[in-house]
Amino acid sequence: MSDEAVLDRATQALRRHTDRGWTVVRENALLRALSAFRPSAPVRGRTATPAGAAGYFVAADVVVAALREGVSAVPGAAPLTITCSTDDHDRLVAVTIEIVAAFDEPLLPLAAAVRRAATSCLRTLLGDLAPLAGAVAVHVAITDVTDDPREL
Amino acid sequence: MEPLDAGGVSGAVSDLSLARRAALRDRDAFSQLVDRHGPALYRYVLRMVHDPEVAADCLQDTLVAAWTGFADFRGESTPRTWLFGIATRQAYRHRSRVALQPGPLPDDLVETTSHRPDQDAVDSALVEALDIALLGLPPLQRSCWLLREIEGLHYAEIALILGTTHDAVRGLLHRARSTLAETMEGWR
Repeated sequence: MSDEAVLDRATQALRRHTDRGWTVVRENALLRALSAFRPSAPVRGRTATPAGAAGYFVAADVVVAALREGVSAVPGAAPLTITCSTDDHDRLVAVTIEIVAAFDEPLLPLAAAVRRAATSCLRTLLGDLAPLAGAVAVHVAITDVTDDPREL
Repeated sequence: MEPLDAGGVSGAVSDLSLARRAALRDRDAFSQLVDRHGPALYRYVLRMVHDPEVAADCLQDTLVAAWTGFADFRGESTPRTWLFGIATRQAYRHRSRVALQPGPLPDDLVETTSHRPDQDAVDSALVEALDIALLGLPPLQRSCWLLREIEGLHYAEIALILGTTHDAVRGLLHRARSTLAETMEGWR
């Protein structure tokens, strides 16, 4: 074999190679990553309790994760980005949800379903006394259409 | 050469879709991305830092940075390239922790996946020889060669990761290939 041929064969062997160490480190590395703290803005929640109304805070990250789950459950839609805006008192004032829609899906009913899912999610998360109805604008932007069900 | 898994695995959800979901705090999507690219990321960082313990730390820091930073991923490169960019920065950060002189190779570097025994033996020896030859390359050449020849990234992607130009990548690769071929000439 020429020098180049040897190198080519070694290169191909390395491409096929999986280091034993990967299987050892995978679980820990993944767990550490998923438990890493990520600073996130607070969003104020408010709910009724036997002792009266109670306020609390939810991390914006948690709000986004819950909205993702809620919107993903709407048939024919998948979230691309979700942005929350709060006022000076950490009250949620707007949510913008960018989605990809299934090809041939009627868009207006789809947007309405996404909005309903988002509102329901927010009420669950931020409490029944949080000023959702009318006070929180839920914007839905359909920015992509796909005929690939795996992308939904 | 086509990039390996650049757009995701055929028949599966694309990398971009998984990255978008991970940005929306989807742990399963992130885990899928890690399982798809983790072995290659580990292979890469291990050969950049030479030490399994340091490579494990490096990989962990890469995954932490990816999970906490996915919200900032804008899709200007593929998720794979983005991950290799983070891994490269981590490898350079951790590199000062390891000896600069080549030492004995860790066992980890010569363990291969299963193939026919005869092919296995030759491949294993070749990988070992290549690992030794890689130790002789300057870090930038090594990084460049690994990203191109093993991980299948394009010149432009490598230039983006290494903060250099397309022409510089071409030059680095040329020198790396010459040195590696020369170092391995005993295998003829």
